[in-house]
Amino acid sequence: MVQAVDVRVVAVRNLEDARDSDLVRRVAGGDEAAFRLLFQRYAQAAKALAVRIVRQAFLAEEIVQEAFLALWRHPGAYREDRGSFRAWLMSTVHHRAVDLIRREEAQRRRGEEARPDASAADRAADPAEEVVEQAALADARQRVRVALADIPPEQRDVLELMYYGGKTQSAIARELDLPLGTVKSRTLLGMRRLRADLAGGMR
Amino acid sequence: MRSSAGPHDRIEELIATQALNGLDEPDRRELERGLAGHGAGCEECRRLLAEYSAAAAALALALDPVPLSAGAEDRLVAAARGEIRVVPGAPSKDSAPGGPFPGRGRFPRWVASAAVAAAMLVAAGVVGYSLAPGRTVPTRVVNMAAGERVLQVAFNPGDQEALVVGANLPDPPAGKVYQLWYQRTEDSAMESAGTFVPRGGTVLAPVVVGPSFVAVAVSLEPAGGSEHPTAEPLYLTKV
Repeated sequence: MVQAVDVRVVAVRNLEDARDSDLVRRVAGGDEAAFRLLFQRYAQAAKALAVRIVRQAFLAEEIVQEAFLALWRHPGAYREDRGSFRAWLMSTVHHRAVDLIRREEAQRRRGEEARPDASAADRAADPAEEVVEQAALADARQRVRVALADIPPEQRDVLELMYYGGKTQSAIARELDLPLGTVKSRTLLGMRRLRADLAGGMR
Repeated sequence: MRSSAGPHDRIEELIATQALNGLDEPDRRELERGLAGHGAGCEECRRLLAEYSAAAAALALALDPVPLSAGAEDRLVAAARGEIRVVPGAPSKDSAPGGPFPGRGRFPRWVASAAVAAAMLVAAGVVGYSLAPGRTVPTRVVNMAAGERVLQVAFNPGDQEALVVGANLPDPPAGKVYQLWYQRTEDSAMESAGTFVPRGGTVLAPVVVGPSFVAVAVSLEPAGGSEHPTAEPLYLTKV
């Protein structure tokens, strides 16, 4: 049975990725305008992820800045043959954000001082700039949300706890009172579904 | 659903979970071993890594974007301008293929000690740079230039991997490169430590020196470098 594939979607995604790779190549040559373009394109999405995990706008923004600075310092850290730039950026931001909350959790468990509440500082921070977004990213968001809705809720819950909650498999197993093997299989099934949906551009 | 186990089933599960940063430490180590076992050339591994990384990124893109604070972009660019950048492979295009320098193409990983870092940074007029930790700290810095130009060799006595740091250096004429030389004793000939080409006037390049030397020099040589200096040194400094 032939699966319908939305070729147009795949083509657009490839075009976006090709544009991003070109910008990174220019960044490697010290092109500041290309660097700014990448920032304009992805910083708000990156901050959304960081804020979801660390729960503090100021820290989230620092994480995003650091990720972009890391690219500037070592453009070779992103390699085209390993995936798209947006995937690299989100992976970098995710890793740093999760690291941060896990370190804090470890400190909390050791009874060390919690980070002073920065929420007051956040509220007093400069007024945020408008959300300005490219149509392509807005489209991508829509498609992903549809794909996520397709994933069975017990799998989606595990993915969200892991990705947005920064929890390990074993932490999720404890929290949901599930066998570790169940958490592992739900993770794999959910990710396989997501991967298939994205790779095929299926609708 | 696959009914028979394939060589990538286990590693796929680990890759998918790692993409979400959800692996516990023992599993993460198992993934590392698995990837190393399959090797860098494993096409299936590469595909799995890329596709699951994209799937995880999709979870990020599902969120509503959050605006940055006012001026964030300009602050980022200001911070970036102050950095020395490390571009992998540069200036390897100047080396002979299969070049003789063991350090070539592999950037040495340094942690700069505060004193050395300060000297480099102040002299080079840059705000900051970051190098991965892991190697011994360069404890000696030889200043080869004065005034606006910065040219330094940072090294650890006994270590053969050293670093050339430069700022405000003119581009070499077409077809030529800078080459660093060192002299083991007062009577010995100049030996090559490597070539380098500034980008935008700055350079941060790995070079290979002898375990001890009494002088360093820089001359302009034809692209690819020379076995012995073919021109008068532009800089010559006793160590």
